Amino acid sequence: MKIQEYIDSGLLEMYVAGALTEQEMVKVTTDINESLELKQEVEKLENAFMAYAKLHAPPISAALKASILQSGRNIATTPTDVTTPPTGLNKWICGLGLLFLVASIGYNIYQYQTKQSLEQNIETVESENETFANDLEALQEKYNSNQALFAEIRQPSTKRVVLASVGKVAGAEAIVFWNTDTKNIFVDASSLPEPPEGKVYQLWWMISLDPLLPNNAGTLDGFAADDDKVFAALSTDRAVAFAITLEPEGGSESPTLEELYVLGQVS
Amino acid sequence: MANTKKITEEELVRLLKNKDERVLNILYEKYSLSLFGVIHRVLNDQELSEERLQECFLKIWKNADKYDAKKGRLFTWMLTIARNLAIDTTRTKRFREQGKIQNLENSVSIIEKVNSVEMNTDEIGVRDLIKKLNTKYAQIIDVIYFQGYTQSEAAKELDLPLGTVKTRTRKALTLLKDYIM
Repeated sequence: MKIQEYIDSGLLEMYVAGALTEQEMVKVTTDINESLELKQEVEKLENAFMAYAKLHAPPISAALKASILQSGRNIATTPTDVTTPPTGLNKWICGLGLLFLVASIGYNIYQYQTKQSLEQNIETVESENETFANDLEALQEKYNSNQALFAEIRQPSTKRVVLASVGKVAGAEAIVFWNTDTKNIFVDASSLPEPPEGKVYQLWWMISLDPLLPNNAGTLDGFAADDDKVFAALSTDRAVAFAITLEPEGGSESPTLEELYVLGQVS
Repeated sequence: MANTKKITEEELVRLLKNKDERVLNILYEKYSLSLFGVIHRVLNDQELSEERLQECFLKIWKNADKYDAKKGRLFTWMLTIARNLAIDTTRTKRFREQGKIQNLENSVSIIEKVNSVEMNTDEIGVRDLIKKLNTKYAQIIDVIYFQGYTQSEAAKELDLPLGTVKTRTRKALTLLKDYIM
């Protein structure tokens, strides 16, 4: 192909645009390298397109060039080969790694200690919870028994018998609640003094005062420890009077009359 | 800057392959506006185009080893990098969300572009030039140079015989040479 025909074919325009196959590109390069005329034509075409492309370019930010040159320098100085022997940078990276390791260990120890302390706290709270639960259970029991007592006392069939002092201890007093329907007996002994060591109060009910026929209604055990000092006694369906005597621990078969504290007749 | 014009392509390639730091400056001075024109022609977005131009130069710098003078001119190699970066960007979500996608199958004619208010380039210069260029010549440059179609793809796209694509491109570039140079 003659040079002018080559130029007129439009192949060089395609070559500058990169619009040919790889083989065609290689072929044209060879041809150009053999002909100064072709080479000059290619340069003209390139310049023409470059000038045309420039017309499409708005002004570029002034900072972009510096940024590109800086990035280029950074790439040039950054070792990319992984087999590079240790450099200052690698030492820095190792140092940093070690620093992170130490920091990590320290953090783990701190976390462990925090965890231990938290576990201890949990144990304390759990034991406190147990105590509260026990307390609550006791209170619930107390409440239930008080409710039961209250229910018993407010019954119309419940008689209230005041037991007054018979001179042994001035001002001593007790109140017996006796439900004649259920036969249940409760005694409020809160106005009695605490019994001396080795002694216990004992409640009696009498089916007759003359002749005196007392029956054991039970001992008021655990008097000192009892907060409200209300005691349930053995039930009866007939009684004309109630009395409380002080007896040796464990109670007596028959009342010790010298130690009669309070006495009250059923009205 | 005056001396950058005197440097031959062979010298430029040698400096680039040797990673001579001066070459990036020379390349930027010589080619940045043309490459930016190509990228901006495709993306029509200043910020995105500048990002791609930076990427383009870094790619040129990093991949200098891969440039093979047997397969084409240095400018052609750089043009391909710039064009590919720009065209890849049109396929990104960010770009599509901006509603700036250009359908390459119906490549926007540069005439439409000139008439569009979006054109913020050297408007008067381009507009005058386009008026002188026949629509078909502007279109062939658009497809072959800016959009990066191969001659066979362009023939198929424009429904023209391959010979016509070549001669029309030849005519278009000849007109450009006459008007610009």
